[in-house]
Amino acid sequence: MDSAVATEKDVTLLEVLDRVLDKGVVVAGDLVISVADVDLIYVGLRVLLSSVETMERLRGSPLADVWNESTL
Amino acid sequence: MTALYATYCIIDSDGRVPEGITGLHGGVVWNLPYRGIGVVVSLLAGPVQDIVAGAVQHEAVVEQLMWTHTVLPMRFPTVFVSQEAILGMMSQRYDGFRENLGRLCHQVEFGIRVLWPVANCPAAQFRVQVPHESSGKQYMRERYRQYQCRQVLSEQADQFGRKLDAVLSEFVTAKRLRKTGAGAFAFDGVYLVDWDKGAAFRRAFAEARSCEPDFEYLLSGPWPPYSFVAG
Repeated sequence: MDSAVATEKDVTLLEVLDRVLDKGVVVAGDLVISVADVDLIYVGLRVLLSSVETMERLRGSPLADVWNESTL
Repeated sequence: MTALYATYCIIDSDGRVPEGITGLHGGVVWNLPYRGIGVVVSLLAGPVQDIVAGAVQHEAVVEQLMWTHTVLPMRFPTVFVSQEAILGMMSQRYDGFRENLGRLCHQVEFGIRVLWPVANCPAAQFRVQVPHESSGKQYMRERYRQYQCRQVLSEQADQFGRKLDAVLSEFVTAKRLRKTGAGAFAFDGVYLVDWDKGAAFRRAFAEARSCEPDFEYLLSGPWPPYSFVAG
């Protein structure tokens, strides 16, 4: 019974991930896109959608780790 | 620290969303209006570290809103650093969002996947079995046998899929069927269904299932219409 419940949960989780990570409205799908004349950066799975200028300002802040990992 | 905004979905309203919905990092969810529609957002304390937990929370927010609004789910994660950037995106995509909201009003999504009966599992049939001292000819013969098996299974999947789809199509607005070939699934499809036809769709599915009981069926939904957002 427990394993059946666990399997059901796993299946449900996979269905959720299949949709949430792969479908829906996409407004950033590449490393750099431009929206309303602002350059935006999409950083891997740990996504930050940000202007280039702002990312430069964030260097040195705790968010910089994400930036550095994603650009290695 | 610079504010970050997580976005969840576009909705067909510029008014308030129900209170008490929490998003990523426990942030309060609100609607950022734009020309009669809105984008549902919450403040984010920092980068999303746990992608799986974040995805589940994202989906929970969209699911709560789908019963009170027409929703266009955003792909997770979509995070902005300013409201101006969000509104810029809304400005650029406004017409498309309007079209989608009109088309997906009162529609939900169901997913159906059907697994082959265990005895007929393609993975077991197509495992490469090359003898240790096989000649090239033996190897090619084995590969040809596998190719033939795949052809047969692919045809069986098509036949099964056509029957199942014919039963379900009566109740659906739109559908996306994936070609399964000789893969793990005998059938893999998503259906867009009007709210009012959800029960009839489920009944039709149960009936079709009972006609082919050896297969294993996975029905999921109702979901927000993730697979039917265009553009």
